[in-house]
Amino acid sequence: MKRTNRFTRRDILALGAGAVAGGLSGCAGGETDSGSSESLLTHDQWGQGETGLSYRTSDFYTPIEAESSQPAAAPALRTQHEAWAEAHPEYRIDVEYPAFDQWKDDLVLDLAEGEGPDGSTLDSSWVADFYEFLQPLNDHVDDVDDFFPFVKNATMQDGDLLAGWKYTGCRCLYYRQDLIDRYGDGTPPRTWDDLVGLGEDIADGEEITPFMFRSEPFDNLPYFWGQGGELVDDDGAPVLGEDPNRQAMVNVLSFIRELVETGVTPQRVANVEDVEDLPREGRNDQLAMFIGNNDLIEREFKNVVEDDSWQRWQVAQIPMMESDQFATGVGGWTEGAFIEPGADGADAMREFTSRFVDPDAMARYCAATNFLPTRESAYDSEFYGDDAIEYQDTFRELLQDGVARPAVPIYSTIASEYGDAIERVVTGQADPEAAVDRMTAAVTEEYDG
Amino acid sequence: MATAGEDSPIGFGVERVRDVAGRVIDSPVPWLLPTLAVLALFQLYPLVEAVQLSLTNEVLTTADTEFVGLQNYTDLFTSIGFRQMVVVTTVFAVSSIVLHTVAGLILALAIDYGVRRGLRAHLTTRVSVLLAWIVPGIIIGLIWKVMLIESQLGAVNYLLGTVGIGPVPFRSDPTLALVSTIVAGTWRGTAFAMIMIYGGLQRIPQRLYEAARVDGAGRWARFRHVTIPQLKPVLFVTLVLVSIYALNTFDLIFALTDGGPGQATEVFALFMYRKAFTDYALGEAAAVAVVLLGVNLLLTGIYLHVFDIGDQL
Repeated sequence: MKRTNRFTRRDILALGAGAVAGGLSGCAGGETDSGSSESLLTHDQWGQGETGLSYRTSDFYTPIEAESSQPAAAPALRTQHEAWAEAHPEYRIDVEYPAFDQWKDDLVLDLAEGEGPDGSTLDSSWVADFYEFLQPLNDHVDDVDDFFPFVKNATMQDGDLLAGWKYTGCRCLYYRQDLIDRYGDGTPPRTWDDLVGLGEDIADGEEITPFMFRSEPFDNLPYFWGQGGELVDDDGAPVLGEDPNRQAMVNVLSFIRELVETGVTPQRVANVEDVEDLPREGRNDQLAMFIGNNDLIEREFKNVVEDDSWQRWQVAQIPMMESDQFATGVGGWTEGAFIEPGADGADAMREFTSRFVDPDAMARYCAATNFLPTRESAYDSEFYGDDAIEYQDTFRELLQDGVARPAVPIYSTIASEYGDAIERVVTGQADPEAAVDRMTAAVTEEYDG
Repeated sequence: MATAGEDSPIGFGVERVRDVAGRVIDSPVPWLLPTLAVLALFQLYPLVEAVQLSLTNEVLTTADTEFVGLQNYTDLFTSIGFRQMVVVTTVFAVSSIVLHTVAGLILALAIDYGVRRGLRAHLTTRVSVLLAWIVPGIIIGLIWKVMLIESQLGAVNYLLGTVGIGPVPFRSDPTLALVSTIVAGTWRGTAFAMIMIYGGLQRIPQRLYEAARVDGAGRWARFRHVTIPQLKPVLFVTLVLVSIYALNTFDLIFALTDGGPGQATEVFALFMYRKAFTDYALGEAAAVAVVLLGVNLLLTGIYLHVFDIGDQL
């Protein structure tokens, strides 16, 4: 008994080792706790405050690199969210990552039932569907006039900025410079006549498709907008059936029909859906020109082709009916706050949302992702270098004439009917006049209904 | 002589409970009750809800919902694309019903023949055909979409190209696009008809064929006067189910052509899906659903009349 109460040398050594290990682990633990960068932001929670603010987004926008579908953007987002968390220690953002297919549907349903989140990322084309739920951000966003006009048109209602459009992209003409040099004068086609003429020459001289586009409506609306066409009036009512809008649409569909009839464009464009389809044909030397989004030059050419052959591909304004017409379609994602004013955390949520459109934050994000900033001052930011994206000067110029999807509920019907009209004309199911009349009637019917 | 126990109130009560329990157990009601409850909850209630919804202007994006009577039905029948949709749906459904049933019958007869003759690989054949049925329609649509790509990248056009044909515009030509959806649907749906009819063939007594042979009936006569009459109940059920499947098909078309080009392959089921999940117009979508239900019931009534098998069901 006496012996068992005595410490042996082995016991003392074990205790000592334990104490050292415990001390070291304590030091390590202390270091982790104080490492604010690790603990301040996790994949599901941004900030450490007592009060949680619910927020839905995509893992495209998580600041945690290992969890992100867009790891390059994570550092920029981390900087932004850490700054918010430090400025609002009493709040935290509880993040949900809904499945993309169900995201909008669930959000509409939840908000209609009063069970929506406090904030959410929104596609720019969704914004109109959420006008009645979105809360103004004006108090937290400086110089609203700094945004490109298309941003203000889509996200502002009665002077209220309802969503922060955090980045954009634009449609342009992609063309093979070597073929333009061989069959043209070296400059890309500016008008429809230029395009058809050049396309016919390429078709005659090369085993290659001269020009393609997707029947996706947004890729083809610049032709209409460039003529000054308007889809809706100031009240959001469709005005497609009224001249000069109707004539502008007939002109577009006649041009598309001409492209198919002359063999410049194959009929199969009626079912080209994926954005990767056309650049893939371009990389395989099967296509000379196409309409695509600005990010394709990096994503589908520069980052995919091993040699410098991507440089054969250049970008330009989308050809128009007349040479003095300009327009491009713009897209992108926005951020919105739904939490009612006066509720606990309402200001914090709106401040969180507005940080996405802070010029420096926007510049950091866009430089990391090759997207385009939506406000002029972001291009002048120290964080948006000359090498942020190839051909950025051209894209910035195109954005001056950017036109967003009309932020009205009837747009989805217009787009759907326009896509169908293009397909009918391309496949010979209808002539341009008949296609426009049917499109107009369907849109009016939906609007009146 | 009654015992003391039977005369006592307790004994009387036990006997009465036993009587009641016996009557309840003998009655079909308690046995049907769980099924009826499930049907009421999962079939009848949604049906009533759909009809009720079709009489409102409910849209997910707005809070106000009003009773609009038959307005949704009027809008549907007078809508611009209605006539084309009727034609497309009719062509798709009739072609699908005929092709599924005929192809299923041929396959079932072939497999039945193989089994009776002890030929090998009949099980492999059945499993192979059934595999197409197991795969979800949306996947079938995507598989066919890839196969029918209108360049040398598409398997079918590549094969046609090797013999100097094509590229064939399987999805961008309006007529061929509809044919493509019918073929893809048949490729998938034939398995179901086959398995139903094959099951029906197993029920036909061999003595009927033997008697027919004794009477000098040839193959065609045996098929016409023995096989077909014996298969009538199974063919009826198959036709009803295949009709429902054909009229309600939207996933395969959604993936293969998305209703295009234009609206060349837009069937009612796809239109209903768009109304509900693109436009969020639940009232209008419910009206389409109720019309489809009516068409299905009408077809079932026609089949019942034509097959004249009411007493066998």
